[in-house]
Amino acid sequence: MNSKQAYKIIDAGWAKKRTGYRIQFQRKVDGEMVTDYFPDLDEGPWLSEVAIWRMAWRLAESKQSDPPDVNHGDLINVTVVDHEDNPVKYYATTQFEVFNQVSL
Amino acid sequence: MEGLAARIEQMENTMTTYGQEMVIAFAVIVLGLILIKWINQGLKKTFIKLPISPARGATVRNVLCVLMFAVLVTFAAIELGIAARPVMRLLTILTLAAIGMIMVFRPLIPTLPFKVGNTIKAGDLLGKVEATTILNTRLRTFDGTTVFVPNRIILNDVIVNYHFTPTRKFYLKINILYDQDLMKAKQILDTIMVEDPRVHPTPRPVVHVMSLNKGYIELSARGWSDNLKRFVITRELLEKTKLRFDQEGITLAMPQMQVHYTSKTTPQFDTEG
Repeated sequence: MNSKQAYKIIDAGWAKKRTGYRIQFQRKVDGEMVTDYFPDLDEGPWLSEVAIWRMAWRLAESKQSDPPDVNHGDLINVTVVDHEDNPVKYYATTQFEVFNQVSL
Repeated sequence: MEGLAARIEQMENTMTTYGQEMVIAFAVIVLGLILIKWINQGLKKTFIKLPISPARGATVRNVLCVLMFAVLVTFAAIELGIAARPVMRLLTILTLAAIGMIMVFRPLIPTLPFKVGNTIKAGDLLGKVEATTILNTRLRTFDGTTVFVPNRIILNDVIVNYHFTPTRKFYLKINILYDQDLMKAKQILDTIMVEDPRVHPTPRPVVHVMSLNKGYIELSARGWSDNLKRFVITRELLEKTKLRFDQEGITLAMPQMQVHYTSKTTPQFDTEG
């Protein structure tokens, strides 16, 4: 095995480089809960994990719900996902974090 | 006195014969210059919206202004009664001569080591170049201050142009206490850098132990990023490092010094206040 092959294995199996982050959240549209993203899926994702988590927290704080009621405009279950739509652990706690969490 | 009277009379005759044409030509020049300035401002606003660099936009505008000025001079000359063809010939000769002079002497002309839109460091000033003139350079620092720096100072000073090299190495300097888990600290730093999409995969990030003789373990994590994103990346990686170290129970070290007293030099402290 040469160094190129070794690094290929490391890149595939160890700490994966993410290509961007989005905020995933739910909100009520026409009486139904829909999952939405920030930035929109037709826009490029954010590259900063720190900035996207800060944005997620701000969004959640701005549109708090009063569980179990979810009103029109509330943003619930706000979290950060990577380019493959997998949840990202919050870098501050190394745990999966969901802001304004509401069980539906 | 006679000479002066003759000159005045000659001027009267000239004004009587060509006065109307001269006034019209002068008006054409003045109105034309105003029109060119107005068009130039309009083009400047338009080019901002277009996906072209400010420097290229300025070049295009300058070329258009010179062409418009040439047409304007020709019109004025025609109004004055001068045949258009000699004027066009003269302007063509002057233009070609100017281009030739620039091409010959360009290597000898001192030029600024940056263009409009570049981020530079000139002396203690760090900012983006907004405009350059013959006399000075307009620099907008990152705190919003507009600074006019004389070009003679810039030409005599050391300039760092961050646009010449698209990538740049960054350093994360972290100190941990001797009794902390060194390998875990290195692993965390490595992982944080590798995961970040803005840290370039090659050259690969590395973590070095820089020294052990300062009262703590001095670590230096190094990676490569886009030059213009380096500042933000470094700060965010430091934030993530601090939080990850807290999570993993690794204590950061403050700069410290151990002082050892022998029995002869032990100071006597006054404990009674």
